[in-house]
Amino acid sequence: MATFSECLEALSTFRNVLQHHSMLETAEDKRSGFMMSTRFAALAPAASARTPLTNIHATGVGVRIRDGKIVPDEHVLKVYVFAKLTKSMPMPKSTPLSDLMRHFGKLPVDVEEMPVQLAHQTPPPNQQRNRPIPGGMQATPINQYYVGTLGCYVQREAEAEQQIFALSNNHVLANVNTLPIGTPIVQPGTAIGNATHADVFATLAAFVPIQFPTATDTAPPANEIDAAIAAVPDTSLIKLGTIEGIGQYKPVLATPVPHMRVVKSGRTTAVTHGTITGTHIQGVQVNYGSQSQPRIATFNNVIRIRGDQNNPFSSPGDSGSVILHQETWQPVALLFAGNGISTTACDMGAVCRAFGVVPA
Amino acid sequence: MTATPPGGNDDQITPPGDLLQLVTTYRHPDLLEIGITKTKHGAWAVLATLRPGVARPLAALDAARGRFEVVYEDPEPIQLGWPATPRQTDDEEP
Repeated sequence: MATFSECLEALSTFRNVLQHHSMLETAEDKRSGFMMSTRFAALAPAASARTPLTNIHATGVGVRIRDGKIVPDEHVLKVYVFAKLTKSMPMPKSTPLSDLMRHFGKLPVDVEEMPVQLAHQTPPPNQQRNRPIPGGMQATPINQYYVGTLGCYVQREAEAEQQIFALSNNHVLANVNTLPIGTPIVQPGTAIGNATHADVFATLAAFVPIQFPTATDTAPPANEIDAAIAAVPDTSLIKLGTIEGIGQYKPVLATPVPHMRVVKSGRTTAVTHGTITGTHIQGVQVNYGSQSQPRIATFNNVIRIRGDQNNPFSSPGDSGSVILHQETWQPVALLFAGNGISTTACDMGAVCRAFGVVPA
Repeated sequence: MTATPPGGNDDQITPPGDLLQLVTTYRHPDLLEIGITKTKHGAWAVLATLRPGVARPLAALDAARGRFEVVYEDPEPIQLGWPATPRQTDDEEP
């Protein structure tokens, strides 16, 4: 019985010999018009594999697999094919290549079917399903084909029974004024599969309508915030006081100030750092439509942020992220727009006043 | 609700009332945006973005700015309030 080291030592030579015979046999097949001269020729799933060489896609050292079961300690040279010949097909003639599929000198060879391997990209942490759900995670209303970010949680200050709400933008939780109160909110949403009711963790509770100009307006109506809240009936599903990739924050509002260093964690760009360049900015135009069909709203008293090293502080999908003061970890703003150069956010104090809530 | 200063004196956190009054009321057809910022030395200042092609400084704003310096910013592309639509716009600029 061959040892692992014997197989490993012979592997390089085996690979070269295998390739050599494959090339010779392929040329012979082309001359004779017989394209399936070995038992390793392509079958239906790999019909595009026109030669033995193209059906063989890897070699290695392993243990034999017989009738689907691993045979321990029977070390072999492995040949991996996209598809094996079925028993119903005629056995091919004996050729140097087909002999190589049985043994290489005294070393046994085992052919194993290994279909095309697909690379599965793991979504970044902010886009994965997460229970309990911290802030900074991807979220969306059910059956909507977009995603945004759940910023953090807030609670009504005066209520005896502390109802917890998820905070994000109107254009995330309410799809720009269009979704009815009570719409289920899911996490993570559509990016990694269809949402089900098992993904629901909140329901849309309130939003501040975004006002757009009408034909009768002499001046565009001014907005100050793009925000919505969703009630969380089961707080075991959520993680209060924590933002993905950042950790714990201090649930007490801070005032945004020019030159303040800030940090956020969002669905698309995860954790990014930046600096507030302006506050109380008036006349900021934000496009909620497309480039070909713009739908523009004007905002006053908003905050402008630039990312470090000229990197964008945000990208689409980060909408709804809560922006924290980097030194005290206190919420200062709610991100809602960007252009790849700078990011625009509303004052977290104004957001909390609008809903009568405080950070939870 | 509690507004807690993140550090420093109150006059470093709360902008002067006359500056706040200026930026919330001043309008000019060549002015795209106006807001509050600080100079590199930490003094409160007016943040102004003019329409493309308009010469700086804007004389009318200069006359209205009082004791505050004006920091001009270049105009940028319009801000977009877009969520992400996976498989379609993830690679687009926001």
